[in-house]
Order: sequence, then C-alpha cells, then structure tokens
Amino acid sequence: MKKKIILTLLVCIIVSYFGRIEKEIIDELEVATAVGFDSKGKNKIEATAVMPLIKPDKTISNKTVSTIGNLSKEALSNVNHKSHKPVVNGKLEVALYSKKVAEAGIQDYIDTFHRDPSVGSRLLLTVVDGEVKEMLQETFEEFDTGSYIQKQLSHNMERGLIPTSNLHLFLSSYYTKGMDPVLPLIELKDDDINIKGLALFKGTKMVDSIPFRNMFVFKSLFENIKMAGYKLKTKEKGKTEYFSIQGISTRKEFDVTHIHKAPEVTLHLKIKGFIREYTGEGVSSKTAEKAEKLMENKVKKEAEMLIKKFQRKNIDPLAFGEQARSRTRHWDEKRWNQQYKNMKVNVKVDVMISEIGVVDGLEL
Amino acid sequence: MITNDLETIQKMMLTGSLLIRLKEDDNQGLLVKAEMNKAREVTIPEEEFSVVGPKESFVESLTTNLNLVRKRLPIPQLEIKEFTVGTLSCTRVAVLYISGIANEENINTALQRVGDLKYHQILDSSYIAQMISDNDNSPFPQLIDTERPDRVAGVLAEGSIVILVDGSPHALIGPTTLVKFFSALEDYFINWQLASVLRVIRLFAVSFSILVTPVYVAVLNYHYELIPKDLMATLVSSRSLIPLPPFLEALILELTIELLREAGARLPTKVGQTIGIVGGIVIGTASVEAGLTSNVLLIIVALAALASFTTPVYKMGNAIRLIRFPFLLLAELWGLIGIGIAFIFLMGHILRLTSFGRPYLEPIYPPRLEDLKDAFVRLPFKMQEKRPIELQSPDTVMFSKRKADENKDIDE
Repeated sequence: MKKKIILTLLVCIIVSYFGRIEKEIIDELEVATAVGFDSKGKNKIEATAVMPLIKPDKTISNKTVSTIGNLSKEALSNVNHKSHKPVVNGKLEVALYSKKVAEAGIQDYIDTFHRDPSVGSRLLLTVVDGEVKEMLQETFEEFDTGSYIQKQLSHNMERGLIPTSNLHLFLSSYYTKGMDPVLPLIELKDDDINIKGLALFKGTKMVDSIPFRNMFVFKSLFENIKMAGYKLKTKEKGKTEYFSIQGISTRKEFDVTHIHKAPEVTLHLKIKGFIREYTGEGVSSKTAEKAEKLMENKVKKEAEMLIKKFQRKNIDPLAFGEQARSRTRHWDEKRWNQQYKNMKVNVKVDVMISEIGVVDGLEL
Repeated sequence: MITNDLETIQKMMLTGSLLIRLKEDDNQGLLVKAEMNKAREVTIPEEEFSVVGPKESFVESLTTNLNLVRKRLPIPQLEIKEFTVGTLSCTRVAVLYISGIANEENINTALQRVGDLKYHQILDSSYIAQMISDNDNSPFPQLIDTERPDRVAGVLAEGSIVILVDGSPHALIGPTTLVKFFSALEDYFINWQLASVLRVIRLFAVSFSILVTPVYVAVLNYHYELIPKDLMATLVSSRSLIPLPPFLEALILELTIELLREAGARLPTKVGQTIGIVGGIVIGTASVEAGLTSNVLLIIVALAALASFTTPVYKMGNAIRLIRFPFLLLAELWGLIGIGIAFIFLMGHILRLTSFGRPYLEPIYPPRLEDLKDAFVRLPFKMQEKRPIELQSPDTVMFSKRKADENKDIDE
C-alpha cells in the first residue's frame, strides 16, 4: 500500500514536471491583430504586424512593426526580433495584401495561415490598393487598426455590399472545382478606409477587379443579400430623378440546362425592397412600378456586363462551374473550361417594391 | 423497576435513576428514573433556514428529536431501533425507518453498520457519518445531515433510513444521491416551476464555483485565442501591473477567501463584523489598488465563493471548496486539457461512490429516467406518485394518481 502511494506520487511529479507545455501568458505577449504584406522589389516581402498596446487605464494605442524578408514566414518571424515581447498570431483579425503581392499570387501567405492551428478560419483577407504599411500605421479612434478594419469589413459583409469572405471561404472557393475566389479591395483615402471594389482571383492570383458601383449586382448574384440599399437614376422630361431603395433582400436561383452539349445557365434573381427617398414628385403605386421596371433593366444589364467580363477573363467567381458540377454525374472540368467562355448566360430579374414608406398614397 | 441485580442498579444510577429501599438492609430496591434533561428549546433551523415552511429544528436531546419525528409520522410502522455506542460515552443512537416502505437490504446495512461501531466516544452524529460511510477517503459526504424534522419525515416516507444520535442536533439520511445534496426542503414549499429553476441555478452555481477560477488560469496561461477581442483590453489592462503569474495570483486570492471564511466561522459573532470590513475593504480594494491582484480575478473569485454558498447542505459546500484546488493545479499544468483530466478523475470517483451500497450518481448513472422527476427539476406533486427507484422500496406507489386526479370540486 505504501509503495503504491509513493509510486503514484512519483509518477505524478515526473509527469507534471517533465510534461509541462510552453506557457503563453496573455500579458506577456504581443497579440497581433492585423498583418499586411507589401512587395519590396524582386523576391523581397515587407511584412507589417499591428499589435494593440493596452495601457493600464484601458486606452488602446497602435504599435506597428515592419520587417523585410524573402519569405512571408521569414518576414513574420523577423517581427519577433523587433518586439520586446513574443508576437503571437492567435488573434489575427485581418490579413492585408497589397495589389502587387496579390497579382503575384498569395499562395504562400495563405498556406502559412492555413497550417497554423492558432489562426482562426474566420480571418478576413483583403487586398489593398496602395501601400499596406501606410494603412496599418494609421490610427483609428479608440480601436487598434486590426480590429478597426475587421469591424468595418464584417459589418459591410453582413448588411453591406461586400460578398461574405474569410479564410475558410477563400480556401473553399479556391479548392472547389469550377469556382474562383473573390476578396474585397480597399484603399486608404483621406485617413479613412474606403471600400474600392472587389478583387477577382484566378486561383490565388488577382487578375482583375470590379469597381464599387457594380458591387450590389455582384453580391446579389453571389449570395443572398439581407439588407442593402440601391440608387436609381431616371431621366424624365429632361429632369433627373433619383430613387433610393432600401432594405433590399435578394434571392437567386440557378438553372443549368444542356450541361453536356452546350451548357446554358439561367439566373433567376428576385429582389425585394422599399422606396425610402425619391426626388421626383409624389410617390404612388405607379412610381413604384416605374422603379421596379427601371431596376429590373438596370440590374439585368449590369449583371450581363459583369458575366461577360468574367467569361472574357476566364474566371468564375459566381461558381457556375460548381453549380453545373453539382447537377451532373461525370462532370468534366477540362471540357467545362472550354465551354465556359462561350456559354450562354441568361439573367432574369424580378424586382418587387413592397412598400413606399409611411406616406403611402399621399398625393402632393 | 424492582431489582436486586447490583450491576443494573449501578448502571441505572449512573444514568440518573433513584433507588428506593424500604429498609436499609433490603437487597431489593425500586429504581425510578429521575434524570434531569437539560436541553435546548426547539429553535428555528440555522443552517437550513427556509423562508416559508415549518421552522422547527432538532435539538441535542434524542427524546425530543424522536418526538419531533413521531408527531409527523404517527403510524405504528415507524420503527426505531436503539443502540448504545461508545465505550465511554454510552451514546444512544437510534435508527429510524418505516417498515414496509424502507428496503430490507438498506435497513440491514444501516443496522449492521451502526451495531458494529467500536469507538470510545461519540460526541456528534458526524462521528457516525464518517464511520459508517461507504468510502471514508472521499471528500464528498455520503449521508445527508439535516437539522430539520420535516425533511427527516419526508425522506422516511420515501423509504430512506434516518440515524439520530443523542447529543446531536443533526440527523443522518441515507441512502442518498449527489443531486439530493442540491435540493433544499424549500423546493417543496414553493411551486414547482420556481423550485425547478432554483435547482438548476444551484447546480449551475456549483459547477461555476468549481470551474471558473481554473478556467481563468487556464485561459490566461495557455489559450489566449479563446478570449473575445472586446474582453482582451479589460483583461490585459487589469493584469498588466500584476507581478504574479495567473496561477499564484488565483491561488493567493482563493486562499484569502478561505482564510476569511475560516476566520469568520471561528470568531464570536460580535467580532465577526470586523472580518467583513477587513475582507471587503482592506483585502479587496487595497490589494487591487496596490497592484497585487487584478480586479477581474477578484470578481471571479468572489463570485465563485458566493456560488459555493448556494448548496443547501453545508458539508457539500465544504467538499466543493476542497475540489477546486486540484482543478486549479491541473489548469496551471496543462490548461484546459488539465481541467478535462481533473474532471475525468472527479467523474470516475463519483461514479464509484455508493451510499449504503446504492449508487451515488443515480439517476444520471445508472440512468433512471423516472427518478429525474425529482432531481435537477422538481415536477408537480401529482407526478410524484412513485417512490424513487434508487431506494428500492418494496412499496413503490406513494399515492394513487387516479384518485388524486379525481375532480370533486363542485362547479356549475
């Protein structure tokens, strides 16, 4: 009995002493919230990490560290040399890539995050038009830059016009056959972060971008929108009138026919919304009908234009290939790629204005 | 009693009898019980106080206590077996059960264990509780001790066995289960919805009390990824000036709370108020301002201490105080995995525990779905028609549901 107790104690002590794991005490770490990559000439990468400095009185200030290296991992580990506490990446919120880096391909950078178990798959990826370092060194209100950018992007994804994307979705659209990833494109404009448009990728290389004004149509083709706004412009009797349509929710449905011979995709887009502002005279059910027509035409035109552009560039951000693949047996990727360029895509838009506000029926 | 047996005379006179002899040299005499029982009056329960319901509690006299039980169960089936335990103290110990309701095996276990006790002195029922419990190496009490005669009457009717000890205001109840320790008698005095919610809160409070400080230590030591980003600033800023690692900080604060509790329990009531001031202001506020402890941890530890007071049975609260420390140690060693390991050990231990040979973790394991009616929640009385399976009563039905459901109200 005594031997047993001593033996158990001994095992406990040995296991607990030699079985220790490395501690990461929160206040002895620099927790990076954003990391950005700039291209610095040939084969040189500048990595910038943003770490919030939390003072005892709870105010947060920014600390940015930039290093240059050949590999992204090397540049990141060099950040540690310049910091008085170990830098960890478990709370990374956003990863930013300059346009140049994105055009060269972000395969290596993504791979690091993909492998690292402490990086969450909800990490936001974004492409920056301009210098990333400059953007990260900017200070924004009471937040650190990482959280600030994350907040701005994620609320614009939820109720704005940026298509939902994060590390997980990026990887999934990258690995899915018949689908290409999309990332938001932002820029620093007058000390503010401005959403400039979308960066379109072929694989992990950025090949093109679409401007902000096309983002509504893109998002409605990409996924269902919950809350968004849209502006319509009409010219009637030489007078320019504007509609503001709010609270838009959209649904889309795919229809793929003749998959084997000559595939044809039909997109049914249903848009629901209400009028909140109108610069013309009085809103009535007729104006609502007018707005419906206008919007239908405009969205259809824009959508067709976008899809043509994608076909020309041979990219498939709207996942037509994935839609076709999931509807057929023996889907042939190679043949699909040949067919894709000349595929016929029909867009059918159905707009419904559900209400025109509390001044319903008021004739002025 | 007329006797001429010298031994009996000696024994009786030592326990307070008078011997009357007609002539001085008579070898026969009349023994008359004339003991004086100085006992406390029946007062309101202090440990298991309830706002509603009866407010009687046991006292130190066995006779009074038996009377308190008997008046709640005036039936001939209520049997009382008396033993004298303790070679020096000769303490009267009574085992109570209702024959026909209590399980034969349970009765025999209790009678045999109490009858076989060999000890020189029994000063309180907790002596007996420790000596007859199934596993005396366990920090968990395996018999409920209560000072409420109504609780005793209640469990007797369910088929439990109660042990009363002369000189102790606490009755022991067995066999019992873990969840019973979290049910207060007051749960039966208020309506079932409220009682159920209170029970769930109590169970939550206990798990909170055990886990919260270890989780704090584990997360701060190993899993900074788990901290929500909005909480990050609060945690880091409160910890930034603390010289101690999280584990030592937590350990010191936990020990401080234990000190306060111990000091509060030992001091006379008049001086006890000082403890509140010393604890609250000096230790709490001053140590945060001096930068020795973080105020987040102070809140956590205080909440954990508060939560551990919600157990209706005092001894269970003590057990919970104790098992926090192994959790804390393992959290320091291996983080959340360590807490997992500690939990596995705890579960393994509770699974193996028995009370009078009946499983302690019932109705969770072995799963007895029917007994859940009065475990984590308390369902209404009309659904409590059967005695708990755990007690293996030969008479399973308490009342007929059909008859109870009959509506005899007259309405138009």
